Amino acid sequence: MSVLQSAQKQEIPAFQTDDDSCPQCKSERYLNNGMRLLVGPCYHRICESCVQQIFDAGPAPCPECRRILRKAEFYQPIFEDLTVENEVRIRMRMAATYNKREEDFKSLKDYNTYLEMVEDLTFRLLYDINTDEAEYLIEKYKRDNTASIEKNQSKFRREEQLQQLISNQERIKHQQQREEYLKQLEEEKREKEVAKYNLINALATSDKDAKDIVKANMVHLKKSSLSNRSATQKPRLDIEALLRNVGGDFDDEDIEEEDEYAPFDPAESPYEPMDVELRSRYDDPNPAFRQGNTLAAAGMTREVHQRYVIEGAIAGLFAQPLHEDMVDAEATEANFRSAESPNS
Amino acid sequence: MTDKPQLYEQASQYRHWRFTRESLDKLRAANNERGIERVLRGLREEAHVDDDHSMLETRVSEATNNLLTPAEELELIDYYLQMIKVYAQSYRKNGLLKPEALDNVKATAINFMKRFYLHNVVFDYPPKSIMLTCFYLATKVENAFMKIDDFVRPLQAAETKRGSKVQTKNEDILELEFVVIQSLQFELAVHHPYRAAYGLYLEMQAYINDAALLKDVFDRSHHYIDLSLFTDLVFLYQPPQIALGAFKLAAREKDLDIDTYLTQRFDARLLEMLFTVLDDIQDTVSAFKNTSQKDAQVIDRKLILCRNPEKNPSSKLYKKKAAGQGDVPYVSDSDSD
Amino acid sequence: MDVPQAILGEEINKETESLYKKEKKLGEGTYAVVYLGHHIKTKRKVGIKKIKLGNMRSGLDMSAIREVKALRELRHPNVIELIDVFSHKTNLNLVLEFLDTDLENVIKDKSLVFMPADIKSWMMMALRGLDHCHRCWLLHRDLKPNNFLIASDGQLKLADFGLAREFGDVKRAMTSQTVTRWYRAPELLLGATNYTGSIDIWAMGCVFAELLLRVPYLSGESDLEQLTTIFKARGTPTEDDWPGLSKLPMGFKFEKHPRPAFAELFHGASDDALDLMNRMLTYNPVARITAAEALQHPYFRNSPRPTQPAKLPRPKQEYVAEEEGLDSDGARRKRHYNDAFGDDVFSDGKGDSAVAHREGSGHSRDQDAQPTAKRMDLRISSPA
Repeated sequence: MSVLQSAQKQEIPAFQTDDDSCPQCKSERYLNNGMRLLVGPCYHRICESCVQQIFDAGPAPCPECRRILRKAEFYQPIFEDLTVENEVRIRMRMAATYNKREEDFKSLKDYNTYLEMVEDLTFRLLYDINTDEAEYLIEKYKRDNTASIEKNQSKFRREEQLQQLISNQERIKHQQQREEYLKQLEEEKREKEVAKYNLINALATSDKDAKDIVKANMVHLKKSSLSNRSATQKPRLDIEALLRNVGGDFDDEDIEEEDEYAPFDPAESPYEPMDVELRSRYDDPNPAFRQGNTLAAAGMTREVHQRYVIEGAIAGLFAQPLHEDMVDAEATEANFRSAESPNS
Repeated sequence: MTDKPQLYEQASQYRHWRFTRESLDKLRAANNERGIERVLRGLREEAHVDDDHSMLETRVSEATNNLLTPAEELELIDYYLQMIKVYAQSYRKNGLLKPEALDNVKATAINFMKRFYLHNVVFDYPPKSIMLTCFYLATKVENAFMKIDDFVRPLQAAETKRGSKVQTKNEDILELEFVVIQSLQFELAVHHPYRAAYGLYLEMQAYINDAALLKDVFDRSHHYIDLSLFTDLVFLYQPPQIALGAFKLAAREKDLDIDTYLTQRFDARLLEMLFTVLDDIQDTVSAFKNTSQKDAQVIDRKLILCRNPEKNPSSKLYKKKAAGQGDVPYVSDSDSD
Repeated sequence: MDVPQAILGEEINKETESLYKKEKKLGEGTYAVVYLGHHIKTKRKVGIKKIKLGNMRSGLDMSAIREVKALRELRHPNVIELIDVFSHKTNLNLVLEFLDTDLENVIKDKSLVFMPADIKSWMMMALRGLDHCHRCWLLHRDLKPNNFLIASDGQLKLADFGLAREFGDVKRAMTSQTVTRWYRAPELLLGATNYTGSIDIWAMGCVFAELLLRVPYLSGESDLEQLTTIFKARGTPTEDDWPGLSKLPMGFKFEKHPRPAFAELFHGASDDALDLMNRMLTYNPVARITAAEALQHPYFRNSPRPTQPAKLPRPKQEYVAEEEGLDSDGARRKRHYNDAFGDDVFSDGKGDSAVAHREGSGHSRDQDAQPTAKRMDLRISSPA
């Protein structure tokens, strides 16, 4: 997709400055806010109202170069530098016709020859050298290669479609996953609430040891669906299915591109995040904060400090202590030399 | 959802310095055996130095009769761990150690010394010298650095005051730095229960109404954390677990119930394991007894007789070995190294 | 002899040392010497940073202690890996993963062209590494382009933790004399003695700008001038912009400079890139974006995609060392070091076949080229 095409797709506003003024009527932008400066095929600027005035009745000469133009030939350029605009348009046109790719050629040399030929023609068009001959050659190529041009065009269209489909699918899958996950969270929450309620009741009403009560309640919980929570798999995009939807024959090599469109998470980490929720107010005895805002001025706020200590309180709170069976292999390796193996 | 590790599981403390009681015992017993071998070997080597075998018999039997058992090793080490606490206080008093760094320096030094003796024997390195090096190293590790001259000066002043003939010198401490850090396998970051206790205190506020009592319990928990430092709990459990155990002890003392908080806040499945852990922590801390000075002195005297000459700077063997290596510390080695 | 024998500290140390072989000196600073080496069994290439004692009268250097302490705790794809540590006589030897170049070399190599996707890729990797440090409550405190090392597979890694320190404990005072001046956050220049990860983020913002401009963004000649440079480039902050500013030790009146239009200077940057950069260079440390938040910024999700690390531009290495003491495998490996695609050379033990295969690649190497004192974590900030 060329720059211009993508620019048009995104509707980038055309370059404008406050100093713009129409060479014909001399009206300036800052006096006339909505003024649009258009250009014709000869790349001379003229404001919209002048265009209407001059070309409404029919074809007329361009005020600057006298070339005969029609109203429909005027448009709003994207680039301020009109030579750029011109070049971009010419190249767009060429690309629409000369749309072969490296894989269409038997050797690198052939591909390079093709590219040189195209560039040569482009050059001629850009700098107005023998343009008639150039145009003739372009037309000839078009006629001789109608089939391949069309084939490539539809290939590109399919690729675009596939891209779209993939990203749509991703989006939907993510949505679904998220919803599922949220639902599960809700479920869990509800079950936890119930369990807690029961437990608290039990603790409040019985006078047995807290540990025993908890153990007893454990039995109930283990049978609940909480423990049956199955791991949600990240579903692989079914490329085959997508391809079938899009239709047409695809080379296998096109599928390799799939990795580049695979979803990725910039914040990916090898570790589980520590999501500690801070409350809005703590009774914090720390004298440091009484000095006023010196600490906060450097970034050390109460929140940072509280997060620091609370994370310290939670991280590892439920770490399993080592068991007998876990230990022996590690300990032997780290702390003992086995009598047989000598140092290497 | 893939099972990613938690951040704390990557800490060196978690990866390399966790044991069970049984494995600690085994390790210490093996070290002790090894130590005894090395003493006997050292004594024999020393006899070879000036070919004087006359004393060898006596010395060997002296040593053998006074060998320390693993339990005695531990008691002796414990005495010097207590000294760390005393020294920490005195450095705070003389202003060299800031009060906000006190807990961390003290706890790290104690931890270093305990770890050191999981890979060394008191026969090679008597705790008295190691203790000072561990302390000094801890001040560096905990961002409470003081120059070696400043560190040694109060020690020398105290020795003079006591009329002691021996004066601690800079080299005594710095010479051992490498041995200590090697034995720690260069793993210097130690996490302590103090931070966790503070976090727990904030956490509990939403669940416990009596704010004044909670604060009281939190303050008291500090005492129990201090006690826990001397036990092996640091090798068995994680700092938040120890902090919570200390909290429970303080809470029991002050008649505050925190079990309700725990059950409200956390999942019952997790609590089952945690309650067992907390019980163990509370029992261990409550039952722990520090070594008395008298008992330590007895063991110290035995140690003099069974010390490994190979590592004893005042022995013939050590001096011979040092001369042979031609090592002069504190000069940058050439690149031929 | 079934009973396993206990291993003592010194023995562990000797064993560790015996695992590695030093090959060639890569460079030297006042603080350390860096060698190229390899693991004897696996042939994995390593850099051995030998820290000389004797600089400090008080024994082990604080910088060495900080670096060892930090690296022993950090394990992340975008943080340099400390493979092993051993001491030899009175030197401390850090066995680090071998990384042949750094971001400073990349920026300075004018033959390299940066695409926006490249810059995005480097920033993402750097922020991931930094986020990990901050999650572990560790400040790096010396972020700058030459402390972002780059592996042969293109992965960027944070290195040089000689100034690293924990943060979060509000009672402990820290020095404000930290971070190389051009990357030093304003709160440090104004004398703050307790701060957070925001100082690292400011430095990251400066590095981001430098990637866009190809020259350092805020380069003052002295500490005081640094502040002025910052104020001229970003406008002088007011108490409104930065609550508490006047309470900082040096927060007294400054010349007022207006906030310039950044878009002009950074005309190549996309809007979202500029937005992220501005958030990193926000004056108020509390409002400044954090590493975790930065990774969630739309910049990283918008197109273009960050370039795959392997495809990022790399400077051509001129490093070729003398052949002394190397086996023929090592020699061949060195010859192909400069091969632009020679990543296989660094893989474990399989290097040989890969190297042989490249024999006909047609690159000629000057084996007697002067060894340039190259990379490897050299610019260790002097102690304190």
